[in-house]
Amino acid sequence: MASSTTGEKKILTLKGGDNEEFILEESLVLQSELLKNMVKEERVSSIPLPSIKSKTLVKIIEYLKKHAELTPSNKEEFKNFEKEFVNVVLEELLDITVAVNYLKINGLLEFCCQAVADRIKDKSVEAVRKIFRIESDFTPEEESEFRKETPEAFEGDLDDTTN
Amino acid sequence: MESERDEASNRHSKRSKHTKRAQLPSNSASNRHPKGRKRTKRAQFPSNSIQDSNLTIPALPPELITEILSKLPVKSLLKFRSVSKSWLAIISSPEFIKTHLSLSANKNKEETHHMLILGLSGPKWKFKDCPLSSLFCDSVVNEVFDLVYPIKNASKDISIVGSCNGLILLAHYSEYSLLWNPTIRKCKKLPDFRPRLKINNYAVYGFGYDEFHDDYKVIGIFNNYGGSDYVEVKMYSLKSDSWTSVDYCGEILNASGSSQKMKLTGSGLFVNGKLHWDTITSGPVVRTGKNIISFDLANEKWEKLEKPLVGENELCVGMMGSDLSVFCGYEETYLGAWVMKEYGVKESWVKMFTIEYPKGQYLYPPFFMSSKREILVVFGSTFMIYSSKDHSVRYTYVTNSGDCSLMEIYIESLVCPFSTEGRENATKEREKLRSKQSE
Repeated sequence: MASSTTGEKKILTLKGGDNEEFILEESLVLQSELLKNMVKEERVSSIPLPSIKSKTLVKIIEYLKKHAELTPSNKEEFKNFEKEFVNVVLEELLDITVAVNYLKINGLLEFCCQAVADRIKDKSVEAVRKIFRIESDFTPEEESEFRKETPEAFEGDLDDTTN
Repeated sequence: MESERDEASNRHSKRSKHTKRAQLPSNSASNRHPKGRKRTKRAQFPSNSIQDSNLTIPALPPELITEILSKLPVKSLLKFRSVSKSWLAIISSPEFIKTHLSLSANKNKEETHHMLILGLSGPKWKFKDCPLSSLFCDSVVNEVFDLVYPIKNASKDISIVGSCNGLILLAHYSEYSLLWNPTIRKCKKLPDFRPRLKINNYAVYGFGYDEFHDDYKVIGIFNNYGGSDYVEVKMYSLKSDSWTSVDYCGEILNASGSSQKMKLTGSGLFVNGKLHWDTITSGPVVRTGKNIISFDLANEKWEKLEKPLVGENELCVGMMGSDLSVFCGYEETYLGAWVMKEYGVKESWVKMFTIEYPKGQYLYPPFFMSSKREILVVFGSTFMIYSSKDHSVRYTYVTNSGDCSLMEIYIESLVCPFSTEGRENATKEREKLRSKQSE
């Protein structure tokens, strides 16, 4: 992952959760509101991001690079890249979304949230609880009331929580 | 593990179409099966794969949950209210309902959240709806869903007055009116207001949203059929759940000095925060007037707008997208339509199109213009799409829309017809349900 010298461009190191280091141009990370503020406030050359897995960070850096290269002529190509970008297992997509939210990369956040929404919209309540690790805090009576109101909610066909 | 997941994701994409269909209502037979399928899935993905990752996935912050939820369609949100108390609280909060509505309206450009509701007459009245986008995409629309008739007695006809932010106003003559959100399946009968004109009156309604007061309002105009010129105007506010009296627009309506008395007709069209009615002479020979009368829901003022001058033609008022429009049938085989591009500016009336239409057919005013500048025109049971780009015309066949006599476009929303204080009322409803169950 180590990169050679990049001339006069400012270099920054991001440290993922598993201590893997990513060296990249400072201009790239400015797309993140969080990192932008960090870089502005004090001259830092290394930023630890212990809550973000390296795997997730790799994906996000890939996006930042592509997004920085976006021009009116490769718009279509970028759109396809975006589509492929979110075409990962749901668990990974959620990891990315949480990280993007933390890093405050606004355009990408919007896109990730829509992708998550599209993936969960046809799932059953049980599946959604599993995906978001939520324990139901309704009483059995309340639960049965919901079942009466929207029986289809509990009989979802797509109960696969990984996709 | 990795390859297994990829396989599964492929299967998912292949199955996604099938899944949609399985979610259709009244599919109880197919609903029984998924349990079996669930079991096979679980066998493929050992449950500990989720437990393992428990350690690594950070909890989603509440604002992120809200952001994701705001991008879901209403039907999914109704379902996910039962995920947990915190999800229920988010989904029923007035702020969320508003954000969700404005997001859906913005997606408006793709018509993804728009539905066409059809009223079907017969011994029993029926309402059906279908996604508006399907009318533009497919040549045959099969996804037409039955809606639960909002009143018990389906032999009574109720007409569609108008729709705004997902709420539809229905009325049964001057007897009663209802606010209905078919997406969340909630309906409210508006309170009676004891009109002074008890019998023999002719009612004209309008429904819209008062942004200034954040309130939904209904206007009812009650004319006496014979004899007296007395007209009663009432305004209902959803926030206060009550009717108040409003002045009539008599002076503005008859200001032209003509000997012919004019009156308002049709349903009020909601454009630019105001309701708009067409005008007609009050008989014996009925002629369409040259003016449109508007009522501002925020300041309660009546105003007059002039229709464009187009020869001797009588122009009827309609809507195209969010613009006010007028249209006329030339010799009943050609349809011409104009749009007021800049609200309130008489000079901005622009001719949109002239199209040929099947002879002897009744014309429905709800035209809709899509993001691709295609216009939906309905004659009787014929759904025609006119492209303003190349002036081409194509037809869409809608299954079982044969004897359709009412039509309106609405947006899917969570807006509750009970009151803007949605959460409070949701709890009340819940308590009511509970007490009913215990009885």
